[in-house]
Amino acid sequence: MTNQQNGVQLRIENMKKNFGKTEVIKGIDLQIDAGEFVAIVGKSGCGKSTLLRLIAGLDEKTEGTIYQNDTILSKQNNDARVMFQEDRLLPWQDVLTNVGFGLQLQNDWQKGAKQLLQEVGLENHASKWPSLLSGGQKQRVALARALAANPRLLLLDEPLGALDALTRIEMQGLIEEIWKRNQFTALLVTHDVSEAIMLADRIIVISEGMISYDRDVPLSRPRERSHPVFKEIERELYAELLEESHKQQTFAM
Amino acid sequence: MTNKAIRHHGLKNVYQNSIAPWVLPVILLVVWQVSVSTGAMQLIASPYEVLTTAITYTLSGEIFEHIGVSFFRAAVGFLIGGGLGFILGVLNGMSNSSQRYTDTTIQMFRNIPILAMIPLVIIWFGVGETAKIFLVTAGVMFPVYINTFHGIRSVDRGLLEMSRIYGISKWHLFTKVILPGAMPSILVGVRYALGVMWVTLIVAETIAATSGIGYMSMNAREFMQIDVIILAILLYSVLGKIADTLAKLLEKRLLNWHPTYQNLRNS
Repeated sequence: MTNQQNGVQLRIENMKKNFGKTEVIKGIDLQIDAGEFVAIVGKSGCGKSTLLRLIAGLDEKTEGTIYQNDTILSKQNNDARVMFQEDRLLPWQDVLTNVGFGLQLQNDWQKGAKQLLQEVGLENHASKWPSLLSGGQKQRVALARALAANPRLLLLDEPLGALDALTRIEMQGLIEEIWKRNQFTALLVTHDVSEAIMLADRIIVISEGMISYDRDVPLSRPRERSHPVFKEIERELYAELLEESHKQQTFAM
Repeated sequence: MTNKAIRHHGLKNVYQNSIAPWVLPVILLVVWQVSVSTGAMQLIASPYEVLTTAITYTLSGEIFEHIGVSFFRAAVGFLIGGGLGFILGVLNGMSNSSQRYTDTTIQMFRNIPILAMIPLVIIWFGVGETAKIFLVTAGVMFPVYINTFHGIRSVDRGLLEMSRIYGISKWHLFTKVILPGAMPSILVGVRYALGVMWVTLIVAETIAATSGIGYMSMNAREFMQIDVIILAILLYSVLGKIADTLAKLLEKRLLNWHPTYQNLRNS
């Protein structure tokens, strides 16, 4: 993979999304540089997943515009691939065919799929049913499938949320490594503060459908959780997230 | 465990798996034979008499004629009815507008008791093959339709969304995602339809036929050949069992990815 596989640049203007009468996204402006790794943090129901789904073209926005490399994004985003919290593997296809799905099962997909499985370290599981894999392995297959079409934008919707702590750290390493190699733009939705700091160049907090916090992470890679700057950002993020819930409580009273 | 203990354990397993299920049937057969021979039960043939009748009919070839005719009716009716049910189920499962136009009508026809149509069917088609095949077709179609439709509609939304993102072709979407996802439900419909198939056929053959197992049985009634009637009942149950076994094999093959069938594959 070469540098031509550079990620896309995203510009979101005045994005709004209502579900019925509920405003989930209340006006978001956001610019993401090509090849940047951005983490979106927030509590459940804050609208972070919705924002990701809008960028993927899975939901239709109520208002606003998304520019991708300066062209307006219409319905389906063909440059993007999504990794969900659930693996969404087809239980009736073996691991290899599931990865081949990312290549749309077209000409000689087996070869490409095998190579991708090797990249995520599962080349020995190609002919297994997904149900025989562990949760971490399933997400690796899902990652391989997402990478198959050399996406220029990888959207990660809490992909590690259902994994145990150790597997999660392992997967974070894998995602970082692949991102560095393939240089796509990455957008990670998570509620895990340390995961965001571990992976992202920049962290955004969304609360009640708006961006309430936006900062860069000036740490070199690979990152250490014990680094003082890491700790500092972690404190800052928790303060931001907790303060917001404190505000809500005061309102409620 | 010692070798002896292991062998003992193995024998116990063989007994429990292969012999134990047959103990009760054998006792029942013996009781049946004895009570007929001693005159305790009347208006019934003994197992021995049924067996000799079966042998006579087999040697004369008559039995194969009847089985052949019944099997033909069952198979043709099942293929037509099952095929129609499947096609309609797929159409309405995939297309909302097709469902809007046809589902209500199909549900209306589904609620007609098929066997109540026999007098009408005899007027329409007489007592020939068409009548029997029509009844089986009508009986088989609806369970296959409903289960195909329901199976397609209940395919995991997440998988459909995933397929959309990955830009998979319509053909692959159907063959690799929707159809396999609906398969467990479709096969439930097939097994249910097989049951309906035999019941419909038995009634149809008993009421209006000049050949087939049902005819053989009704004909025997006129001459009080109770052994032949029992033979006919047994033939139906054997055919039913064969059909069910085939359906189970189909399930094992088509659903080999399913965790329920996985230990079968790995062992």
